Amino acid sequence: MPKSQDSKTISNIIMPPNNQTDIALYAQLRASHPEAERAFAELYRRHAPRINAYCKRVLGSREESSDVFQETFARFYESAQTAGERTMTNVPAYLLVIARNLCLQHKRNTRVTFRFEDYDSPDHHAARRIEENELLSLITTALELLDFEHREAFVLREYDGLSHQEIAEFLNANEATIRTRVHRAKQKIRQILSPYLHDLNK
Amino acid sequence: MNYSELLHDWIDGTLASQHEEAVFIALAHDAELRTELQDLIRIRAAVQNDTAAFTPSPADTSAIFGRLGFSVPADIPSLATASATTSAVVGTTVGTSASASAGAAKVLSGLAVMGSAAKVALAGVWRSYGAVLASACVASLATVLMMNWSTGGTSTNGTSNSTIANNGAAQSANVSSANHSPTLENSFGAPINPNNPNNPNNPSNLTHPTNPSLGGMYADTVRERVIVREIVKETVRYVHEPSVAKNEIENTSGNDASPRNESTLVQTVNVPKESAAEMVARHAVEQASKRSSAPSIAQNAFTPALTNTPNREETFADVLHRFRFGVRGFTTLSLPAPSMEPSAMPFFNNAALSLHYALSPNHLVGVEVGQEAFFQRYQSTENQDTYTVTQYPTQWWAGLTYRYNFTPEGLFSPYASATLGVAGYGFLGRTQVGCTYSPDGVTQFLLGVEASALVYGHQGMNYVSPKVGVTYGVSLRL
Repeated sequence: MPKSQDSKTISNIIMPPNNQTDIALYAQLRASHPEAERAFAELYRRHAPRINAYCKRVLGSREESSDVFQETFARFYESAQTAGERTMTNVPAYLLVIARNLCLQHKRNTRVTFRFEDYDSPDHHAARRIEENELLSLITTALELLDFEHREAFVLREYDGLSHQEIAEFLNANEATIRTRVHRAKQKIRQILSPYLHDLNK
Repeated sequence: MNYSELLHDWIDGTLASQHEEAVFIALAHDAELRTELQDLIRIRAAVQNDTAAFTPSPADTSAIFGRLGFSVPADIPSLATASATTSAVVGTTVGTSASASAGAAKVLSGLAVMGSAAKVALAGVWRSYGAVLASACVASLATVLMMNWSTGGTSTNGTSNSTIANNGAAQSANVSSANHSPTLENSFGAPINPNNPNNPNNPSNLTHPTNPSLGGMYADTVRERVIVREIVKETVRYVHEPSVAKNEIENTSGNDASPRNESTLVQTVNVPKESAAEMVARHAVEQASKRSSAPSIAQNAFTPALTNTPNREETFADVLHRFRFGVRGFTTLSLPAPSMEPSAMPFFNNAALSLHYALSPNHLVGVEVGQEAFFQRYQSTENQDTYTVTQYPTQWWAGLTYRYNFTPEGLFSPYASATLGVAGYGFLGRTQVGCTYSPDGVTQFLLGVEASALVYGHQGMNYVSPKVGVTYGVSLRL
């Protein structure tokens, strides 16, 4: 059954927000308040976890990641109001771009305390308080010890589930470079966690 | 070969197949490599269960929604549960978040594709239907013309020989009902005995008086019609009417050297209860005698072969006058009342063009093409989600139409018409009743009421979109 292509028809399809695409929801952000609110809530519901994970694990600092996370969605909504005739094609990627730009801005504004190449003492974190999820907390800490490029590549690969090619496109880098970064990040995390992992393997 | 990197690729699912065996063999022989594999798996599992990372804090959520002037939905603080569920699938590419949204994306992407392809599909539909429609129109008109010609020639005033055809049709109906042969009949319903070769009434024994090549071909009803037409045109009446026993059969000499059979000649004038053939032939002779320079033909006699007698053939102008071109508009209401405004095209909304051909002043057939909006409401199921689609698109439609004029000779003439056709999204049927006003016989104004219905299907279900309304228009005889 062919559908009419006029806009009145599409806007009058009776479908709940959770059955609409990201692009359709993004278009509704420019609509009236109730409709925009429902659309934003659905987009937030879908993409906030991944953006939050990116901000938290890339920035490390809870306060900074919270600020970046809030600013990301605020700018996302504001961009929808001024989109005009531009067509949104990939909402998750667009959110990641906003978050990354803000993370980079924060990174430039903060002093680097650790560098990946400088870290060579795996026993540094042996005295950390053991929490319920020891391995996860250790991974979180290990991430903070990575430099931004390796950390970001690892987060995009392991937290956001992007492929190496997608990460390369997102970061405008070479796929082989991304693959190497992810590999080195994992190796370093494993190296940092080796004592704990060694105990687990016994 | 760096087995560590290959191990990472294998965990990521990107290991090339030609390296798999080497990696498995290395794993079997290298304990350190196996340890690394275990570590990587643990790290990945821990990351995917990192709900704290995936769960925005309520404070962050409140701050975001408050900043935008929105209220936080009740289910959003429970993202912790949702993120734990979705974290297991985080390892997929961006753009495939929840399965519901992926299903919805498929649905609307499918709709968008269908919608965006609607124009292309519509053109394709019209390409398909257009050929069928054109063929049907051509065939219909050709059949109409053949039927019209077969019932008689054209009178001097240029109008169709509708009276002759009507009377002929009426008479043929009476004749065929009274003298019906199950095998062969001539064009006027009189039976033919094809089985007796010696029977002079046997069509194969009949010879056309002026066109011997047509002899022996009387068994074909269509051919008989042609022969009758030829006969009438040449003012020679050769009708095979063995059943019309009451007619006097008279054979008069003529210029034609073809052999005559008495039974082939029929007197068709002043005979009670004359057959259709007789009536047609008599009328044609009367008309021809008025125009012909040949010796006048007595009512009770005829000259079989007046081959030099000119007979007025139907001209192109005569044929053209039977066509009537019209344009009409309509104001209709969909039933039940639609819940939205219809889409509107830049031009020609709720209007139709028509071209009718007058079989007779009472009967017209033709084609109509128009554009109007049809409200549609139907159920659609995609990925176990059922939703209602409502739309009110303006569509092109076209159809074959038949109209009957009750009193065509009058200034006002009630009429009734029916149209069957196709629209962009289904099949269309409509009926009209109304009245025409023709002050000069050429221009005709029309006012009536109509009911129409669009029948369309979706996923095995058929739906009907009915409409009622008023129609008004004007037509011109070409």
